[in-house]
Amino acid sequence: MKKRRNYIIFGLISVLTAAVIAGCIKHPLDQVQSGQYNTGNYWRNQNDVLAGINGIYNVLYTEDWIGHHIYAFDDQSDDIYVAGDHSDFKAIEIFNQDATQQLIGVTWSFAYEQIGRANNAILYIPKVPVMDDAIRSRSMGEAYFLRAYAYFILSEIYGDVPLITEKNVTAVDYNVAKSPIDSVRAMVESDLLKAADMLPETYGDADKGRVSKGAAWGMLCKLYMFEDRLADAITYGTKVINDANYALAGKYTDNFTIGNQESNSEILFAVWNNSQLTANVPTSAISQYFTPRSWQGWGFHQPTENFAEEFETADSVRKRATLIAVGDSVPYQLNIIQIGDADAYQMFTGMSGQSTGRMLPSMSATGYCIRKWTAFVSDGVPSHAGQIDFNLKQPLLRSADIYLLVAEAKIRQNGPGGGDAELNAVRTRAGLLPRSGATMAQLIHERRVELGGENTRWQDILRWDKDKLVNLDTIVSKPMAASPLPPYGGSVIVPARTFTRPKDYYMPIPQQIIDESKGVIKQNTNY
Amino acid sequence: MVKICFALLMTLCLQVSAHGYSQEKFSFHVRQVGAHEIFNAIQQESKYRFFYNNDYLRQLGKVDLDVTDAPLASILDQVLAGKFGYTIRDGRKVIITPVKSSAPPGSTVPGNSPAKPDTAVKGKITDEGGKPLGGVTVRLGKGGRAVQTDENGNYSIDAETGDELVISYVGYKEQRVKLDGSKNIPVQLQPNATGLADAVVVGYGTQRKRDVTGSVSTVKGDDFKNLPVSNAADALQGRASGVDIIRDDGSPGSNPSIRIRGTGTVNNSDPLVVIDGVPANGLNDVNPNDIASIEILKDASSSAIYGSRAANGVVLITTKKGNFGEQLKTTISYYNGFDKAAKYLDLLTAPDLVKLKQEAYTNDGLTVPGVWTSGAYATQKTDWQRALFNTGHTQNADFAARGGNNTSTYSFSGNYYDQKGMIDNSFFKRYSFRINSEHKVFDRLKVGENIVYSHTNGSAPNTKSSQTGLVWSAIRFNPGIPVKNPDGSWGSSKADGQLGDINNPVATADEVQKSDQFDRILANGYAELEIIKGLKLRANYGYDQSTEDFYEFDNALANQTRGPSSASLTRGSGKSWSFLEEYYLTYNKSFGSHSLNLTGGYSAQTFKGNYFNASRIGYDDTSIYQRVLNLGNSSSAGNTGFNTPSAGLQSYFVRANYAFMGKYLLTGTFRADGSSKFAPGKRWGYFPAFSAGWRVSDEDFFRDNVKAINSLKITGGWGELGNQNIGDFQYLSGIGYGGGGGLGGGGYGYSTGTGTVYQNGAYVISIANPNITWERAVMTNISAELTTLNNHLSATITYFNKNTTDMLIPYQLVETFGAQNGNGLATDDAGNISLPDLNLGKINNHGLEIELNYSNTVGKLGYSFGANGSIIRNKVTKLFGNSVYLAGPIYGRENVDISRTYEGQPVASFYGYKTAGLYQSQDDINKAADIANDPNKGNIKPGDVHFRDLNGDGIIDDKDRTRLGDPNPKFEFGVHGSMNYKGFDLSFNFAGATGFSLYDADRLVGLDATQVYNWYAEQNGRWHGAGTSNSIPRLSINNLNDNYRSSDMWVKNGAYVSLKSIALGYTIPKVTIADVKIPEIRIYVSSYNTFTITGYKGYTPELGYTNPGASGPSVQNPYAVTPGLQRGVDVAQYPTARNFTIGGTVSF
Repeated sequence: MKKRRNYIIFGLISVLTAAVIAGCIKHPLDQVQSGQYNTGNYWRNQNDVLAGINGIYNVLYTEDWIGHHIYAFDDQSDDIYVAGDHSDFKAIEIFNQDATQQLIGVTWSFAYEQIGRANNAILYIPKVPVMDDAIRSRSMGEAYFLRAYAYFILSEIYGDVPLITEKNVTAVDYNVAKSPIDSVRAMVESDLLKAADMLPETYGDADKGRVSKGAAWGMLCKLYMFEDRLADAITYGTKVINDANYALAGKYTDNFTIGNQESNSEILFAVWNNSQLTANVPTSAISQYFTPRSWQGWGFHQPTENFAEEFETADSVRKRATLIAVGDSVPYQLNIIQIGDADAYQMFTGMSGQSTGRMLPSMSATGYCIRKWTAFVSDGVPSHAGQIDFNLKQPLLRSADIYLLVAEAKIRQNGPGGGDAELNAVRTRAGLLPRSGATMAQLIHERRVELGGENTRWQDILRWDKDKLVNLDTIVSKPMAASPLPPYGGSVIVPARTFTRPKDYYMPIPQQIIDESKGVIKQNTNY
Repeated sequence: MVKICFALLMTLCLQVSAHGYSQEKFSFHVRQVGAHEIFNAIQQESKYRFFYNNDYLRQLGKVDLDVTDAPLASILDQVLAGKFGYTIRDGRKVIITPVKSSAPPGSTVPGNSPAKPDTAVKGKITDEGGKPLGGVTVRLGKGGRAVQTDENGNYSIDAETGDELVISYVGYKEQRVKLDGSKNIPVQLQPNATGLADAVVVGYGTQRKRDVTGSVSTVKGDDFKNLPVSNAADALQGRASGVDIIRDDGSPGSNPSIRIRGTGTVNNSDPLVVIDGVPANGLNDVNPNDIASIEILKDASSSAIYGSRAANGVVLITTKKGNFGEQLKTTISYYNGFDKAAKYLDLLTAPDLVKLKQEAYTNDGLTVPGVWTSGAYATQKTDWQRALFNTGHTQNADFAARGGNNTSTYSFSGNYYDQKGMIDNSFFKRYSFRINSEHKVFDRLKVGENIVYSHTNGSAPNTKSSQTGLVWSAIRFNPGIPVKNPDGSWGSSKADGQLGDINNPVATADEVQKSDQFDRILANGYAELEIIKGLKLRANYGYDQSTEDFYEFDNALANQTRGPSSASLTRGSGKSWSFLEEYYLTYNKSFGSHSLNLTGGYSAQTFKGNYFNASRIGYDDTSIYQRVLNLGNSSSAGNTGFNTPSAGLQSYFVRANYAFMGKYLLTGTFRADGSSKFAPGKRWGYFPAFSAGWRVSDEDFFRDNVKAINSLKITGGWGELGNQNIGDFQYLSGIGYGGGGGLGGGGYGYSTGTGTVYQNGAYVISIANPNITWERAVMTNISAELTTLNNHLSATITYFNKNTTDMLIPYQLVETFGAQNGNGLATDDAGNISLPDLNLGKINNHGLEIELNYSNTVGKLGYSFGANGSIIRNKVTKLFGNSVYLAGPIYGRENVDISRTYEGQPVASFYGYKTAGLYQSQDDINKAADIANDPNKGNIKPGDVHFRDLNGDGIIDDKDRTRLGDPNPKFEFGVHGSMNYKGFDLSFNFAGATGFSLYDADRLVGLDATQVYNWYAEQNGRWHGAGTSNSIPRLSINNLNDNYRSSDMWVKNGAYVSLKSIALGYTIPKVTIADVKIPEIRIYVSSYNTFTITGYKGYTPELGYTNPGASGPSVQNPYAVTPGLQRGVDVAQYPTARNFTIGGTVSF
């Protein structure tokens, strides 16, 4: 009896002991990820939201995307010739694009990168428990705007594309069939309308560079032009034009000059670059790609004689702000280059062996370089002499663009002269005489010279060709030519090209996407 | 926390006064069974072991027994029924004896006549302890006459010289003694090694070998003691079937990869290593001489008790311990050996190289560069392999003191291992101290601990890079350059680009000061309480902590082509730690012919770690005393710090072993495992396993009819196991945060404001897979174990089939989530986002394993031989479909795409073009259908490689590539043996493999005429006219046919057999001379990696992984989870050295 009782006591104590100690390691499975944020432990407060929005803008710096490569598509136009060593750029320039080219692939993936970052913000910002409501609203507006911007570019480049929204993020479902371009544009419109509601009209000094209501209105105006919704384009474009916060800058060059960009009311949306000298901060590569090689750039894009000739004789302000011609100098350009035998032409005749900081013939195959994306460090520090100044902001949308879109819409709606007011605002700012009864042809000319090198020309041409406002064939069948001056002698840089309709309106969907989707995403017709 | 809990358990238990240990009691309710069956049943349930003459038991016939809770004595009285007596020795050895005085000394077995005194041979038969054994049958080899010993163990038998005595007794090994004319022949019997008492360590307990129904290989520590290896895994090579030890390189302190039953997953397929009950990370901190045994649990049933981490098998390490009631035994041992390169490659000498370089340029109509015509490098100055490989040294000293009294056991050991590699500044050192002890607090309560502290310090040069790898460099460095110039500076290739952009390998080896030190404490404490008879509660707590201190000073090598121009210092520090707690109950119960063993419990383990490192570049004073971070250039300072992902595991497990009559065996295991690597809701995996065994030889029909086979057991099992060795927190979407970046993007943040101020940003950098969960391996196992030839030969043959399902593979999502980061798939994307693994893949491994062991004693010669072999087939049965593959690393500067893992092929198969020799003439080229439409046809010249056009389009392009070979051996084997005669002992161990291919990537570079480096001597036999060669292409600098692309020209048969170790020793026994106790001394000479027989021409056919599965995170490689997707590729790894050692052991 006693023995049995002892057993019971013994057993009880043992069980108790086991129970007490069973919890030595509390909740071994509830491990917290530390030293690394995730969607579970981020998005706690306002600071997280601000950084999360910065993270969307961050993708704009990307070289393979807005930070440069997107500009290579504009080289299909008659303005600019591809001079670099990227074979895919050259193939695309002559309408020889195929689904495996790098540019076709990276544009796609970084567009969706921007969309993905925005989708995360749209998904999580509403869940942040406590934050300033104005900032929450603004941040949502920024996310919608940036998502719309990426979809707008996708629709320009590829046409029909899959629509990925915050719902797909939640479901981890990315294999989605393409939506027709009309649905993509409807999504862009819907996002931009939300953004226009949520974004402030202006920002304080610390937040300049963020997108505003004006940017959203401007993008709506542009979208509607692509949709031939002229009246809507006028409505939203006019909001920009009538708002003093988005007034044209006093000088055309203010848009492309360090120091005059940050508070410039005309710049609706730009990549807000920061100097590489200060720290290891990201910056777009556009200056690197557009600045001539001898001046520490890579010299990828060189304007054609066809483009240079488009400027009116009196249009010297815009021409000088847009093009560098042989013999031109640029402020703070301190790289001194020896004049070679091949350079001893034009103003350098007989100067072989001497040195200069001016542009030499050997720096371009056409006789010109793009000026808008080139600036040099001006801080006077000897070791910085001649270095590219990456502080140059990269405007993506300017009020002048909107003025001309509204002018175009009015001309198309009301006939020649309908857009005189908006057109002339742009012309007079450039120091030119106003026009009266401006025609569509004059509008087309104005857009070409006002926005040269800003990645608008080719999309304009495509848009106008679809509307039978221009004939693309006559444009591309004209060879791209170099300057008539020696040593170029007007040589043909790119011979006549052939544009195939409708194939060449859009790029092919990247082959990798087609393969990965296992039949869900279909290749664009004609590829 | 753990300490407090442990103390609590102790206190609570101390309040309980335990009853005295009750005598073991047994219940039987059986009718008409043989006495041996009753004895077997008792042996299974108790500590008792039976020894008897089989004839006695036959005389007893069948018996009935009906007792409940009867002590042994009363059972024996009933069974033996007064016909025989018994004695019990050491409290556990039950020896059945003739009834006292029932037979006179030397009595004969009925039917035999008594011995004649003049031809009689006499002697005493004793047990292993020297005590006499009565009733032992002593039989003559010829004629079969037999006698039995009396109760004093004496026998006397009439025999002739030349005959032999055969002594047999159940429980002991049979012995045969040749009669050489001596009249007094005493014989000491040894317990049967394959007998009942052999225990096998299984998870959470031990089991007798005869009862095991799973597939377990055991390697005893004595089999590899004093082998000059730093890592016990090296010693396992060739010793157990189904266990593949893959040596990734021969550098000091390198850890081989262990693969059990093939490569089970494309993720980390390392087995779980459990050291004295604590799951630990690898074997490299364990002194091999401290190991008592290594058990390898191979099948699902045996490893299921470790279900969560057992999919790749389990390696159980049991260290040596003292025994209760054992006198102190002290052992001191020391060895010292040297290592030499086993092989050198034949390379061109300087004059030949110059000649061939000239030919290469001339062949292409190019101007020969001045460096090859000036004669400056035409004189042989240095054999760089011999300059780099010196003599290495390995020495080891250890001591151990072990023993115990009635209530305590103790073991204390220390070890110093010091290996200096063949290459300067490559070394590995280890100091380790271990304390194991166990104490009986009461009869019912035992407590104990195992504690080991180890300090290791090592450095191995990079020998896997084809940019800077040291061996790679030595093979390629120009032989016309001296090691040092006359002015004392290092010889350099900087003078001319034609000499290659390689640094002097000797300079690199000498000028780098590197060390990676680890301090590790692996401790566990346990308490075991017997609650009621047969029911035990055990608590086990483990703590494993490792701290790392990394130091690397790279001196400036300004006169070298690759620099560095400035000296740099990197310091790193890290710590990782893991807690384990386990509670489990075991219950043993027999009722009648049934016996049941239940084990069930709870286990939890957590893992954490953190690391940081810092570096500076630029040291004005590079003296060894000024190498601190503060003295480096502060503007170059860099630092990083991070936590390794924390992880936790939680498990409930239960196992039941059931035996009926000791011959029908059943095991069922069930385990529920939770892992923090998966999302809540996906964490728990449930892993069942079953196995059954039938001891056929215990059946009467077998016993009566099959005399040749002593025992036969057939087992079979099925089970599911889990694997969670994958990246952590993949169920969450990672967010990158901070600044950083640069031209062209990157970083996380954005600049805003009129002043353009940069602000931190954040965005998603990995996509979550909320559904990620366990990989599962389903394994089937069928096995037969038998012993024959009087238990001298034991054999096991096993078939297994293992299917891994839900294998986690990096999956290619459609790239509409963002810009993907390159992640091992065939992608050249340079985006930001990593993709999670998805449970998609499948892999199959199946094969056959055979183990044979033979041991015998003939007179004073004892010998044993073992052989094992494994046939394994590996195939990835599902990936994403057959167009997508998992990429291995791209080789070197030539970007050779060597290894690809495709669905339907073995893991890491070689990939490239098929060839058909060389084109011998222009006519061959004109006629070749393979290049009929090839646009490159005009560039192909006689002497170029004839690549095969596999898709029949007449063009050689990427579409013609195919699988070229399988680096996974289809058959691996080992043969080992040991012999002892008087004081001499000899042992050896061979390992080998066949049925696999190797990829000689180093030879590809060594014959590549476009390479500016030195070439293989084989280049002398290059094609230089029709018929001169069909395998080594013409020399061409332009190489327009791309002769050196990945092709079957570089794929070789890897078959080899290697004498891994051989040792010859002599033991001087312990004696006492005039009151002076002379200890037992053994001295020996041994060799490791003695020779390899192979057709493979590189340094060694044992090439291992070039991107091994990580052995855990470290300062340099914090998130090391790279799977081994490239195997058997020769990248001029640190070759394995041949070692010769001399050593001695002194035992007091």
